[in-house]
Amino acid sequence: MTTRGGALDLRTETELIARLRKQDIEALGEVFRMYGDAMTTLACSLLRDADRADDAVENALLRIHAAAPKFRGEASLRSWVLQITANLCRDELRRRRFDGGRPEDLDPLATRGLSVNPTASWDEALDREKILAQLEAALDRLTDEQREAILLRDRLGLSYEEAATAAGVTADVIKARLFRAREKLRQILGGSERKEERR
Amino acid sequence: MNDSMQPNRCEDERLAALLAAVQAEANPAVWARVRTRLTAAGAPAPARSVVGARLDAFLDWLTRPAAMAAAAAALVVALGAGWTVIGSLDTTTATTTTEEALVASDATNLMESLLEPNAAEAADPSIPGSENTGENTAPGDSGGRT
Repeated sequence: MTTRGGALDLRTETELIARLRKQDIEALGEVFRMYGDAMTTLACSLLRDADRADDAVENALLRIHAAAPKFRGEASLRSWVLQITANLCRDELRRRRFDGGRPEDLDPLATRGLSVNPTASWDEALDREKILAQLEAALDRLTDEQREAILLRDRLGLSYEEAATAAGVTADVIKARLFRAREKLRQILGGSERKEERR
Repeated sequence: MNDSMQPNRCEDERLAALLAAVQAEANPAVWARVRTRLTAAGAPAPARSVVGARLDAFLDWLTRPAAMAAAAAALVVALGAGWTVIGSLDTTTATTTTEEALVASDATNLMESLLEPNAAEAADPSIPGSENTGENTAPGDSGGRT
């Protein structure tokens, strides 16, 4: 076994996949315990709405249960689970774009069901909530593909290959999207920092 | 080029650290809902009558797109066949009616043609006994004409 949200060792993963393929509900429960946080983080970050993210995770689990007999284990279980979650979030985003969506939230972290990890070590102790809120606002200005790439790679810590599987593209495409996403984030955050300095 | 990329790399690492600092926790209610739904779906269906089960199966079949297309095609064929049959029935009826009309017309003409000479005789005052009502005429008598 491994830590929550991380990749499983091969034997454990093979056993879990075998149980999933038999549509064992308890095995699905283990998937939720292992990857539920990552699925929820991805859904909250992409959909920017905690309630819709819960719905997406629920539907993803049902789809995992239904599709498990056909899963051959070509990709890692984590990337397959996150791929299903990301696909459902993409569908939801398309629908929302069609129906007009919701107004922008004033508190992007709280209303999206996201919170700052208190165990993370970092040096921006001052105004960290403000910086992270700025970062979330900056993420909103990326394209859906760029946002997905940077969330899979940087927020969830997936490898390039895993992120590519989850996004349904090649690793080169993920690298290109990441490059553009980071460049754009640097520009946006650099611009907002200059504005703060002028004040 | 490496010098220019170095600050970017530091910036990217800082960005990645910031992004990784924001996480969400899974909602236990989500798993409870999923479990309930899967258990309900896996549980044996309540006993239903054969007719009810067949009706359900038929409704399931009916809602399929292919079934809808097949039903629409069948409706078109049925309408076409019905139209053709009704058309042929109309023609037959008209023919029959016309024949009957012709027969009736012939019969009327025949009757008239049979009755016409007598009527002419009755109207002609030069014919003797033509004004008789038939009281003095024996059955089979032609009216005195030779």
